[in-house]
Amino acid sequence: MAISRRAILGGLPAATAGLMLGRPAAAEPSRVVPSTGVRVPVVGLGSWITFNVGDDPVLLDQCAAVIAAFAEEGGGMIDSSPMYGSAQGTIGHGLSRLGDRAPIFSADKVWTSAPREAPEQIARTAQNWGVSEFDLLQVHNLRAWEAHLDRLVAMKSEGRLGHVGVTTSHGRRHAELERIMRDQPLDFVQLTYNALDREAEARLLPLAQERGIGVIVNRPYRRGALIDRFAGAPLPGWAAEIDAQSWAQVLLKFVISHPAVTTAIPATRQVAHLRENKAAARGPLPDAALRRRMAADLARL
Amino acid sequence: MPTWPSYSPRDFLMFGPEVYWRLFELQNRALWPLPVLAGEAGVACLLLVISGRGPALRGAVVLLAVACLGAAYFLAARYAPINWPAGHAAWGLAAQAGLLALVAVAGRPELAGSGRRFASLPGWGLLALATVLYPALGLAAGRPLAQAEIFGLAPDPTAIACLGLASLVAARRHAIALAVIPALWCGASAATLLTLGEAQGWVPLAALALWGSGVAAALLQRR
Repeated sequence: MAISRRAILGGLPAATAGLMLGRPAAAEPSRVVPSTGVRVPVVGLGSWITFNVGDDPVLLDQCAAVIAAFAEEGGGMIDSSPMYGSAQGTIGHGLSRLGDRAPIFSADKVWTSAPREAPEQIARTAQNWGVSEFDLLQVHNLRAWEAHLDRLVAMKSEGRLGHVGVTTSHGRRHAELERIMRDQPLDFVQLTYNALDREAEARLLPLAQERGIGVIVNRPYRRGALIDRFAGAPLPGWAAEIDAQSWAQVLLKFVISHPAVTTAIPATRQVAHLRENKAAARGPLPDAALRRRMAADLARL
Repeated sequence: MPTWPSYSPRDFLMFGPEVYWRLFELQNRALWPLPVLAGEAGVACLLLVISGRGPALRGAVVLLAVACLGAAYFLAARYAPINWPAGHAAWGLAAQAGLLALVAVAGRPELAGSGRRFASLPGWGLLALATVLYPALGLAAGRPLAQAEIFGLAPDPTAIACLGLASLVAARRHAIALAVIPALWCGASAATLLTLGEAQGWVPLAALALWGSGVAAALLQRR
């Protein structure tokens, strides 16, 4: 039987469902989605590549363990897309093992050039997750965004959807994204932002704050490449100031300390990495001065 | 401004290497003991080609056709769920099976004569690589035997065996028709594996080079 994900969040309207989040993770900061007042833990969970495991029972169990640990650590946003192979089904598999009140903010996407295919795709996505409604649906990579956005806004106004958003990645199509952010009624925008990919700082992040749009950050580690890049180097002295125990925590703290960022969605299939990500959110975060220093130092390394 | 120049091959990868190699383990376990039979069929195919003439060669071509169907099944049932383009590739290998069946039934396949012995060497090498050596490649790379890629069940050795046969047949139209799809597959597989960071991607690439050298040698000998 399909479960209403928003019902899992407490059987409450989306505007208050987020208050259920963060149960055991008292110290993990959460951020308010400006348009709805929902609070979302600042570290979420992505699913690109890591959760695309087909029907491999061993890897499905690994992913389910990550999702269980995520819920145990306070939960938050899990993000996927029809483009991510079997990732949606993997999430559904993991969620089916959780209790009815798992603190998950369900986020997925519409990914098709043919707007008429969207309803069927959304229905299939919900079936894969095992939910009847989503907290957030986004237009993937701005693909056919006008028609999809109209549909998603209509779904939201009918009470069948919590939030509406659009996504980009790898810093692509930022000019078009900026126009959409100015003109359209968005709850969320998803974009790439990390210590070395900082183009969003110039216009998009300030615009999101100005327009009251929540920001989801993808590729906080550039798919692990940033962690690999810094791996051999000792942690800088300022890492101790923010209780960062690893490069992953340094990089994640940099991302989530930007005041415009609502949540970052690093992906992993390792429970230890998931817990490391969640721990990064609980400790102190850098202030604006330290962020500038971090950015300068990391660019030099 | 178009965004496509900003994409790299890595951006199109939807899965990681662990997931990929485990596909073979899942298939080998699910179809057990078929992997043993398929391995024997590969060796039989090699021996039939070595014996060289008439019904034996025709039997080898039929075995290759069945092998292509097995590899197409892997692509459709195992690979496509994590990498949707593999579903299209499955049709390609099914078409290759059809071509082989056509050659076996209506084409009177023959090996190139002794005058092309030098040009045939790559073909024999490719056939031996696909049917005998391929299952050991994973072991050499530190992967378990359960993940072995076996002729007739895995696409890479099957495609390489097809390239081998295409290098050995006498009729130019057969050589061309039987090489197109496996050559495309080898290119795609090499690109995928190398983008995954797997050194084994050099093997289908080397197979392509070997096949190309055979074609070049055959052309030179014809002049």
